[in-house]
Amino acid sequence: MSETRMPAAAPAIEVRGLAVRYDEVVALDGVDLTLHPGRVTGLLGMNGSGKSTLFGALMGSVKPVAGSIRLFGGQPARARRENRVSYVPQSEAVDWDFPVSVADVVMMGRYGRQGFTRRVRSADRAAVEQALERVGLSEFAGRQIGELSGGQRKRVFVARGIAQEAGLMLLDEPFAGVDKGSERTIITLLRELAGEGCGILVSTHDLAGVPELCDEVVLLQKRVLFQGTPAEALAPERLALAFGLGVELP
Amino acid sequence: MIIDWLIEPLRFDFMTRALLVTLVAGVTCALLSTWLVHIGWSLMGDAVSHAVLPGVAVSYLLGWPFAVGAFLFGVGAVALIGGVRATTKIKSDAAIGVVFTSLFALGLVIISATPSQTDLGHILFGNVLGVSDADIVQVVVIGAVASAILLLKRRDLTLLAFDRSHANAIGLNTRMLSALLLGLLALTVVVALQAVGIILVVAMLITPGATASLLTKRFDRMLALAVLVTVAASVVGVYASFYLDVSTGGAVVLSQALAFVLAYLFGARGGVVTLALRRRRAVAA
Repeated sequence: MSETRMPAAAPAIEVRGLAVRYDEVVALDGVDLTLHPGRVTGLLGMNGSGKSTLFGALMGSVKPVAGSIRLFGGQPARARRENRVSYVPQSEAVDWDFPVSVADVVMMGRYGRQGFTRRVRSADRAAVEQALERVGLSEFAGRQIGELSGGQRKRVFVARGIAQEAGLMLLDEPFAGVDKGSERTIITLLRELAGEGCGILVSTHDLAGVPELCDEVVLLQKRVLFQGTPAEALAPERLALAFGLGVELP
Repeated sequence: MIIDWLIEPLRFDFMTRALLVTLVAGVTCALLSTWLVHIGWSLMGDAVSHAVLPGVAVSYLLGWPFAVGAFLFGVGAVALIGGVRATTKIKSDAAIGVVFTSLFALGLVIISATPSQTDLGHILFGNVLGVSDADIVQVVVIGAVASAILLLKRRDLTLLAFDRSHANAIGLNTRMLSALLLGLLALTVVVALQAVGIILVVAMLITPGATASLLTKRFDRMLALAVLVTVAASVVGVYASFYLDVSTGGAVVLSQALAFVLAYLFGARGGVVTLALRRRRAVAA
């Protein structure tokens, strides 16, 4: 639908025929997906539908058995080395007792721009401060990350992506365990980032927030069942398709 | 008086050597332990330390520097464990257990089958009072190199421990970083088994990091504290072994354990007694 509007810029993500298998289990099978810069795409699907696997494949931690991935029109490894890909992990994937401060985590967004020993330069410090200010966490810079609320924790990782100056942000279930107020703050922030040209892919269970957050929705069940507007995607018969009500699953 | 008491042991050449080896080994282990306890690789330390036994035996047999054989078998153990994990459905701890006990047993068999000067007791429990000049050179050089690499790459290693997916996302080679850390683990074990022996190396690889993690919430401070605690424990242990005539390796590890108990009771980050006092004060106020 957006092809007429931005023909020049290469898609942030272009996935063709992607297949991933864990031993005998098929995790992804023939996924086609295109995501343009400046747009927020929601990734909906039930547990085990392959959302996290898709993120893993985009970040190079999961090896596909077939298909191709291009990020910003080039090799994914190159886009990653150029700091164009940032990732906000699921809460369960983070050790919240780990001895790092909020500012330490945001500084990790700058590592790809630093030298062999990751020596901090003044530009890095400025980028971290700005990112923290942007997400409203400046006063918490020195806190250990576990000492924050669920919504603040998410914003730390979004700030890391901002400090990284990434053109593509991947968020895995950012609204799980986050209260409504914080969810609103995060949605506003992501909309702003998209407005500045960042391509954003968000996996979520929270259907209520989807129309406000997303320009586009992808329904995933090992392959892409549907890609289109939130209104179309949230139509009951399509949701039923994605969440397996009354349909035969492969 | 106290000065005399402190200087007396250092009159003996074997005591200064013992102190030097213990300090170098202790500091290297302390640095490494801070990452091991946070990644959850403490058991790997145990495995690698036992698995080097056949390497030490073979080195003595062939007249190699002990570090060469020990390092080869340490790295081999890591590779074997990784291989078993990758190609079977066996759980990680079982893979580690099978590999290191097998290699340890191989070491026992080699030593028992070969009439040599190798003293099993010295390898198992350390013989820091009898280290040769060649051993000291090996320990100091390897310890310095391992410590330097750990400190130079500390930010990447901390990122690896904290958030592997971000490391992947910014194009860092996480397999290489893991391999680097495991290689350094093998090197460090080689250094430390001179000081405390195979059995107690694992204490040097876990206790300092665990102790420091009870004391602070910042990783860099944790590294410094782990080193500080280890230096103190090494000095206390070596002196205790001199004046009380007890096993040096045992005394050093016991001093580290004492530091852990103190941190457990009085540590700023959730020490048992600290919390109780804080609660009482809160009630009184």
